[in-house]
Amino acid sequence: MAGLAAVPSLDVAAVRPGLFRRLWRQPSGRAGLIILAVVVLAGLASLAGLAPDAPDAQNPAATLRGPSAAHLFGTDQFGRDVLSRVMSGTVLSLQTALLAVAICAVIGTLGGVAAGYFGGVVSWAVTGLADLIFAVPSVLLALAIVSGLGPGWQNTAIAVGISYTPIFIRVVRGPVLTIRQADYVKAARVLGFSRTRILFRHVLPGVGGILAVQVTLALGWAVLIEASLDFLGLGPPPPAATLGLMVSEGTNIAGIAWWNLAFPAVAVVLLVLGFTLTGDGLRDALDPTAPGSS
Amino acid sequence: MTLALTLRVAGRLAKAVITLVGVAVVVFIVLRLLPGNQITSSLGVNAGLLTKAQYADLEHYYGIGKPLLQQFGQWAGDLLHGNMGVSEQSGRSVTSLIGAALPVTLELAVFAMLIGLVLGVGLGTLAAAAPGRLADRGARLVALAGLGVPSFVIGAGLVAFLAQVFHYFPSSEGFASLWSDPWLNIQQIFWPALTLGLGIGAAILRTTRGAMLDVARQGYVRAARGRGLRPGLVTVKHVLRNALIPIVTMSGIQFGYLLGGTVVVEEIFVLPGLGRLLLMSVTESDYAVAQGVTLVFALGFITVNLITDLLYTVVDPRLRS
Repeated sequence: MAGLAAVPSLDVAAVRPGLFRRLWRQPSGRAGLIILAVVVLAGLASLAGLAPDAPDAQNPAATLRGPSAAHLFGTDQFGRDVLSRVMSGTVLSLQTALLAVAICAVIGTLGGVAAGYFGGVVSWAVTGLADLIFAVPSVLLALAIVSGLGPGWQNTAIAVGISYTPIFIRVVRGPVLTIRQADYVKAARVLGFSRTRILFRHVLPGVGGILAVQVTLALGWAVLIEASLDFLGLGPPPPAATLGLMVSEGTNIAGIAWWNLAFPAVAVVLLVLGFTLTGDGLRDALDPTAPGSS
Repeated sequence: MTLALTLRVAGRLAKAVITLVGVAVVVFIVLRLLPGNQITSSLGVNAGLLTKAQYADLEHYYGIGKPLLQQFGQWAGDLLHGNMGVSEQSGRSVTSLIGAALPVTLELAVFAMLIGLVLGVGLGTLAAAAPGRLADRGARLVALAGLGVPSFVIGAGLVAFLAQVFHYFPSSEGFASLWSDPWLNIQQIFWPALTLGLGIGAAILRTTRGAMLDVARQGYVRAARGRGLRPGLVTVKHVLRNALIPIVTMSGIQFGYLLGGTVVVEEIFVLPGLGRLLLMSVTESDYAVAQGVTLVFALGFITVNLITDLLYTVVDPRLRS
């Protein structure tokens, strides 16, 4: 889990006093934050053992029951509690997305900064590699990684992380090209600061805002791809409660038990929307030239 | 064409070819890193029953023992002659498998892109024409739904809905090509195309709206309005025309994602396209097919990027000089 720590540390550069308040004032930012709060709380509750039932506890006496007081989201064909499974699937989605984005944010940012700052051969190699990854369908990449390393959420995260890395490289490289020409960077060079110090203290903070936005949007995208892979049967195998697998199984029995399709689907949508809306709001909140949000 | 433009086009073409060769190398290496080989994938567990001599014979037949570089040279040479090898699972040539699947995916992609463009540019223009009004709010809601709801959720919902209301099941009858039975074909393609088109349309809508609102702030738009030109004319000829570059960029990006999206949607709607072929070939470790399909996907992606790049010159007269 060491990689997870990297994401917040990238955010810190962007956080100025009042950012949260500005984000809250954006309609999309506020909606995103509220949705995320609900989803994350549900996930935390599941981790804390507050879910109504264990996600894989079967009950042959109560299969395919509709939503009721005993089972708020109903039960599936094995009598498992759908609410508990959705909560557990949310945790799985969140942890996969966090690990995936930690991977692509760290690799992509380092690559983008190097390409933008050093230019020349480094830039050519990095952007060339990014174009290559971009041109291979992410599903093939994921399939190859999963069949090479075996199924499991960590491997899904690696696959998703690698396929999103080119976006970070592109997004970071552009601004770095401008920043390296900025007077304060030239000054730092004249003062004889080390290359590492210039890169991490002078260049990196300049892309902090863009990174914060990109990390948030990437989290939404990661949830989407991760759930799609699970849906195709490439994620953790059953009985793991992944939202994608639940949607896939729910489709087959939707005619007799709609709640098996509807609730996991809504959970995926809320996760994706929560991150996307927050990212949009963050972009507007960080953009000094943005017109008023009202 | 001016010299500068010729050089630009030539440079783009060279870059596209280099990327394609790079993809070929990467795909070749990645698939060799996977566990199992052609022998285990074609014979399954029975591969364990082979005698040492038989195994060596097969290795020789597939060229497995040879150095990687030689294997790659063989493969690339055959590829340039249109020979992509033979599927281990079906015994058919990879070229014929791809030839059968490609039209399905192309049709799906074209229809989805059309739906996406009509939806995105149309609603985006409507939204930008009257920001904050009902049409704008409605369009933004559509965009949000298209972005937030993954295509597999839309697809799964549609399949459940069609089964419930129309008692229609995608797998109930074989796929009809556009030539053999156009009406059935349109019915089979429409829903998956809509599934993919919604997501693409949402992204194009947001870009169209944003770009048009930026352009609408320009002085020449105010001047055009001031000269008393009809509002509709100003919106289309002055605003939309000048907002086309980001729209073209976004459409190109979306078309790229669309190619990946076909895997999911073809699986849901049981379409015999490239996406399903890719999924099946990789899960069955049918190397030759997986390599071929990936190359076709990469070729499609690179071609779309190239076309997008060249479209800039059509859209922006400044790039032509």
